[in-house]
Amino acid sequence: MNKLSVRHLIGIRGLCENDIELIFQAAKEFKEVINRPIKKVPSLRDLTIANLFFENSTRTRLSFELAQKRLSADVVSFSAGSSSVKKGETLVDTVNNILAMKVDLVVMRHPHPGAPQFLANKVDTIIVNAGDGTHEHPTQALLDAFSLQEKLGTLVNKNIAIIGDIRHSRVAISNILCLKLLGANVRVCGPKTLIPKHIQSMGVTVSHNLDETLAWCDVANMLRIQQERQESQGVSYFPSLREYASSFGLNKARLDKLDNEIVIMHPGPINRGVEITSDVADSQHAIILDQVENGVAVRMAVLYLLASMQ
Amino acid sequence: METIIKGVTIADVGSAHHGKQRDVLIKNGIIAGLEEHIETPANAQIWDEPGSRLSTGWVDLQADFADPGNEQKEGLENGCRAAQAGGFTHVVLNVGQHPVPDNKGAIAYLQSRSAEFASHIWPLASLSQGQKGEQLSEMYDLAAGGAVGFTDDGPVNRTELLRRALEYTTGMSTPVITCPLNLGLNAHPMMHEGEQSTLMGVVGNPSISETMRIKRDLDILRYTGGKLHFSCISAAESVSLIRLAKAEGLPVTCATSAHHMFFIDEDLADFDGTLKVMPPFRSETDRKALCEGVLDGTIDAIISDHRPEDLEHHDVEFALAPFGLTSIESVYPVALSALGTTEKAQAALIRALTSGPRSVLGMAVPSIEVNQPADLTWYHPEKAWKSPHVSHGVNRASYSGRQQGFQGTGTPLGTLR
Repeated sequence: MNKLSVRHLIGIRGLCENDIELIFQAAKEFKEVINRPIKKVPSLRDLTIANLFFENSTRTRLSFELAQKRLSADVVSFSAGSSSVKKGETLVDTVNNILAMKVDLVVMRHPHPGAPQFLANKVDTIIVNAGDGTHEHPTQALLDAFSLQEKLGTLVNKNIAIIGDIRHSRVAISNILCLKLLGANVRVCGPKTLIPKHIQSMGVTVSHNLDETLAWCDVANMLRIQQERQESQGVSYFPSLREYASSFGLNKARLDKLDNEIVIMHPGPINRGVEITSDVADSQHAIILDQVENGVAVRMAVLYLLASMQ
Repeated sequence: METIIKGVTIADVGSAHHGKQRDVLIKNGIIAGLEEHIETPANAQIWDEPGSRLSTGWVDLQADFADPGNEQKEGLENGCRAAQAGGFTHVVLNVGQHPVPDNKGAIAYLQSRSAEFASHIWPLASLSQGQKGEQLSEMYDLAAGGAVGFTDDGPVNRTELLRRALEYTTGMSTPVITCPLNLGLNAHPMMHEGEQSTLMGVVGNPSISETMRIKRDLDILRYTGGKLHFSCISAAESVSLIRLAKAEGLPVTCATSAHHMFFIDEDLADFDGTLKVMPPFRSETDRKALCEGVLDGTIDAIISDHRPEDLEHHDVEFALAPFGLTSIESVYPVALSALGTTEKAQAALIRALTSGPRSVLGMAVPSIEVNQPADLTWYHPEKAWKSPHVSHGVNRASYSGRQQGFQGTGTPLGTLR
């Protein structure tokens, strides 16, 4: 099979192992391309892509735009702050207006879980989910898994810990689904308040002890503390950043205690000194910048494969 | 005006004709004849459908027609027409009107407007002034004016308000109605909290939000007296709690919706905003317990909880979709699919549509006997159901392909009142 089994990339849920292999094969080739002196191929030169960001983003949006430009697509982008959404226009109307200008593919970030699925049912275009609320962020999970495969070879039976704010993380859900599909053992770790009560139903183990988790894992994926979401009805999920950092922050002292070397990841943007200290983030254990570079290649692969389904 | 229903099986446990096939003659709103065979009078309207049944008229204990206030969503007249298509001779109108029905003028308006409509309206009144959850509304006045119960269409959060409402209405036949939910466990829940909500990244409402409130409300009821009705329960443990409370002799009743007996949280996997309801559809265990509760009579009534929406409000992302379904036309086939077609299940279903809701309201149950007023629903449990599409609401569930198999049978054929 050299075609994806899906028309849209809404989430990792819905993908099969073969889809992921296909994306990774293509990503490998595109990674080679973007490291050439001439970083561009004409693969999508007939395609117009709209990046609709109904929620703020810097790196994901830049990464998608670069991927599109490297593939020679025509690109238009907008963010909710500068759109008619502020004037009360519905999502379907906004997107249909853009599609009337002959756009072939939509990359969308949205604050509401399920918004890309809703749109895929309503409008006739290819949708790529660039993050929908606390639901999924499939390209992040793909680039994370791709980066890990580069580093470790197979992920089968590798112990991977996702640490931090699982409750508010679309990255966590997509990563769990993707890593499980590739045969890894996944553990989530953080204070109980930041871990959804029913997360074990996704086939992961749960720990509230960072040192124990670090001793168990081959990889530690440190998630960002989403400071804007750390309160519900006036009650916070943890008492202070200081206590969070001391209980769940990754620092050099913790790493030095381990018998084995582990791989450190972070989807960015980093709160230095909170979930991870600078000496760890910038150390040789960290593959954070590889993740960023691979993000462009993986997104090129996703766009190329979805467009070739047309 | 005469109507004759030919060869219909009587489904009324209070009648000597229960379970028997009869011809039924109705003259000027009175059951004039009830025999094995009645000669069809000239000019009589003839209702004849082999295999059909006749029960006391069905009562929907909770429906909202958004009138006055949002008439474009349904309207009283059309809502009553949709209720009739669903087999209901009476609808207990929820308090979703704007302005809210917290005064006897509002109740009088609802009654006078709906006097001639296809289905008869029994209005509820606001429990608190302005439905603000602070001061009691004028309950004696409202009851005298025709209100059949008091609710703010949601939980009563202030403990003392519930205490005073139960105390104040003690001795009245009208119940105090609450939707037992403690929404203080987390902000803005959209569905049941469980495996499915985790996978969807959606804020969930756990079952304990319902059961902890039921426990509180039952404790207050035990202390104060009065009559308490839970408008829509959704969790297995709620059924157990109410079963125990009834065994203890507490004056408590409860209902669930036909759709809570049918759908579960997994049915929301595709972010279908149509299935966003509060209380939410919960697990398969909860769904089965609700069906059990109807079968053993713990749950007194099956409601539609009809909340029609117009396209503009409904056709939006899951997170923005309003809670509620257009459901008044499909109560019977949906509940029948959930409960099954055994005679025990069918008897329980008819009880939950006839005597059950009337007992919640402290009303007498009309019997199918000669010389009794005709308050009748004619229906067919085996006839294939097709949505009559009378309601203006667009938020209709799709039943095919859902977790629970939809039998697709069970059709209300007509009502007489």
